[in-house]
Amino acid sequence: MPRPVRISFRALNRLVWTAFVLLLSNQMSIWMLICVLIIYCQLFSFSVHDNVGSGKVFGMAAIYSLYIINKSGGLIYYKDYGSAGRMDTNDSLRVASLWHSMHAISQQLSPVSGCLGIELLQADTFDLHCFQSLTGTKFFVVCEPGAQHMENLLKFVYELYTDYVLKNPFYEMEMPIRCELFDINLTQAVQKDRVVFLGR
Amino acid sequence: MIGVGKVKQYGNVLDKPLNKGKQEVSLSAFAFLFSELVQYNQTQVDNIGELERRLEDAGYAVGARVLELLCHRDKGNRRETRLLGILSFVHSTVWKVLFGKVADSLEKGTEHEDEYMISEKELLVNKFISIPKDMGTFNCGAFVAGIVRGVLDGAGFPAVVTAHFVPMEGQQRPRTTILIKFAEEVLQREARLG
Repeated sequence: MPRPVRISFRALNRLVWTAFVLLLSNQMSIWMLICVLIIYCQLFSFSVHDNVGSGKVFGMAAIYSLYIINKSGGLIYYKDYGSAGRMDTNDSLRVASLWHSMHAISQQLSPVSGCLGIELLQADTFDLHCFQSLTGTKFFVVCEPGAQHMENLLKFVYELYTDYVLKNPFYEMEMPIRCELFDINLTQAVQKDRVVFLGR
Repeated sequence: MIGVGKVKQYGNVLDKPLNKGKQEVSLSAFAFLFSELVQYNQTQVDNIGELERRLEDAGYAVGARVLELLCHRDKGNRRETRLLGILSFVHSTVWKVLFGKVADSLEKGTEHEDEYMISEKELLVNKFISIPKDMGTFNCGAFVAGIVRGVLDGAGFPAVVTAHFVPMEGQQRPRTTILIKFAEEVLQREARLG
C-alpha cells in the first residue's frame, strides 16, 4: 500500500551540517547558509508518496519519474512512471526548481574544485540520479534505491533530447517539450529490457 | 613517401580531376540545416499554406538541379520521355542519390488516372520532426514534394505535387505519401505516344 512519507534526506542532512561547519570556519557567507536552510525547510514541507514496487507491476525498470529542467531551473519535461505517488503540476515544478538551486549550491559547497554538482542523491525510499549537459540542461530521474544503469539511461535520454527535440523546427528553446517523437522514443527507452540493454 | 612515383603530376591545378570524396553528409548536420530552413520560413509567413508553398519552392530548385546532374551522370545526357520511365527514375535513381535508398512504394491512384503516389514509411526530412497539434495536417515533406515537382517539371512533365500524412494500421506513426497529379497535357501526350 502506498503510504505518504516525508523525504528523509540523509545526504541533505549532511549538506546542512557541511554548511554549518563551513560557516564556522568562515568559508561561507551567512546568506548561503540561509539559502540552504530555506531549501531544507521547503523540501520538508511537502510530502512525496512512497511508491516502492509500483513500477515493477508494469514491467518498467523501477523508475518513478523523470524530469528535464532548462538552464534557468524551469521544468520543461516531467513524466511519471509509478501508478501511485503521482505529483501534481505545482509540486513537480517546485521539485524541479528546488533541485536546480540545490545543484547550484552543491557546486559551490563542494570541497573538490571544479565540481559539477550532485550526481546522485540517496535517500531511504528513493535514489535521485542527475545528469547535467554542457549547456546547463539537467536531466534527473527518481528511482528505486539501488537501481542500476541510471547514468546510461540519462545519457540516452539526453541523446533523444538532442535528436527529437533540438532538431525539431517547431520546438522553442527553453520551453516545455511537446514532441510526439520524443515521447514515443522515451517510452521505449524506459522499458526494462531497454535499460538492461543500455547498461551492457 | 609510399607510392609517390605513381601520382601523376599536373602542371595546372585546373587539369587535376576532382576527388570523388564522400558521397554522404551527416544526418545531424542536414537535420539542423533543414530545421533552420523551416524556422526561417516560418518567420516569413502568416499561414501554414504559405509555409508549405515556400518549402516546396525551396525543394523545386533542388529538384531542377538534381535532374540536370543525374541525367548527365547516369543517363549520358538523356532524359526519360515516358510517364512511367520518369516516375521510376524519381522513385529509384533520384531517391537513392538524395536519401540513400529507393522509395518504399510507387503506386497509381485508384480514383484518378492522372494521380500517382510515392510513399515512405519514414521520410528522411521528417525523421526528427514532430508536428504540433495546432498545425493540423502540415507536413515538412512539402520540401520533398517540391523536389519531385522540380524533377518532373524540368523533364517536361508538369504536375502538382503535395505531401500528406497517411495513418497506417498497427503503426504508431503515419507514413508520408507524395501525391503527384499530372497536368492534362502530359496524359494527352502519353496517349498519343501509345
